[in-house]
Amino acid sequence: MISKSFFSRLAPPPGLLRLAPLFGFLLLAGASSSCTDPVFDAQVEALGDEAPGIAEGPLHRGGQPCVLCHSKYGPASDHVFVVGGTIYESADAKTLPAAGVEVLIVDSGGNSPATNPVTNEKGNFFVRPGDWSGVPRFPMRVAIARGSQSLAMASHIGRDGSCATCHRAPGKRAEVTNIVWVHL
Amino acid sequence: MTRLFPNRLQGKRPIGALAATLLASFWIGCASSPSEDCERIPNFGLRCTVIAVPDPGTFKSAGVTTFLERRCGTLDCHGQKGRALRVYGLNGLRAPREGGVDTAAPTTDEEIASNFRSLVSLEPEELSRVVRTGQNADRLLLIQKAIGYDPDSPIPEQEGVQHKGGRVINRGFSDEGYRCLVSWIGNKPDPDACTAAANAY
Repeated sequence: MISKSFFSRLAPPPGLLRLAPLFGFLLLAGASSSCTDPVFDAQVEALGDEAPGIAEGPLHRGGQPCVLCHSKYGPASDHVFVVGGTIYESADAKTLPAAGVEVLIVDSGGNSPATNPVTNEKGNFFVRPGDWSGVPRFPMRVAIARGSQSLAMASHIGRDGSCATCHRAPGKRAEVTNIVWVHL
Repeated sequence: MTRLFPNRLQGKRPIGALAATLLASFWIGCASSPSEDCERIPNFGLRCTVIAVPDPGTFKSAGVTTFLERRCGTLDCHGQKGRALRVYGLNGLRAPREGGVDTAAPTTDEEIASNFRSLVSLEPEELSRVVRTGQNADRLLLIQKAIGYDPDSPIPEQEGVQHKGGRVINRGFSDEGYRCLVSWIGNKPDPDACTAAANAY
């Protein structure tokens, strides 16, 4: 038969019991922070809410870095994109989105989307992994074209499929002032 | 061996906080004249940090910087201020200057010097050992990162380390990018390899 004193030896010392709430708090804090990336979360948060009158979908959030959310660990992980962005009619700050622009992309394996994406009425385009011929591999080269107009990006895309990671509204990146919205 | 900050690559203006920090932290020079490059610290003695670096002249003339600018220095990769290997260049990040930046201007000598300093400051002691001995350049993080790591590789020993930007070069002198970097580190710069590597994509 096991004596009472045996169980009392198993019990934690009284001083340790007083620290139980602290341990609980630390455990909870650790569990809640271990699955998040505060830098990533801040970037998503900085994008703000949806614009009034535009529902989530292919027309939303023009000019924002699409792949930030449309990625494996992003809030739109059910619609992952390889590349996505918005194309404008000009570099002017008050320019309009450019519809009907074809986006030509070639990755470092020589592969491209099976069908070149074309911008919608909000200037947005995106490519899903399944749209690619083969497995998409960065770096990539990209050009845009509409009718007789065409423009190729001078450098390649290194690793980020969001055009807006680098291309932002005029004046938003003083250190790289030649990088503005993607435009024809 | 070469002094880390040769006069011919020095800009007329300070490059910035990084350069100032580096200059303050490192007293660099050839082992033959340590007295000129050491600092006497009160109550401590002579403090010398001597590292050997590849030739900064051929960093530009052999096109090593061009290779880095084109293949590593895009704005979504190493063309960012916060990166340890931070690369300035015409098609990426421009170095801040008084009076603003002419973004259409070719990469400046000041930017090239800054790229050089950024590269050699990644692992100064390890780079120094490689430059002195001429061996094991591919153990440098610079090379290992550029090779990248593919967990499914059939030849694991050929892999480098995890690199968010993926594989930029392949291990071995048959790869122009590898040859460009390793030859330059070994003081046998290969301009043709650098040009080919820079234009590979």
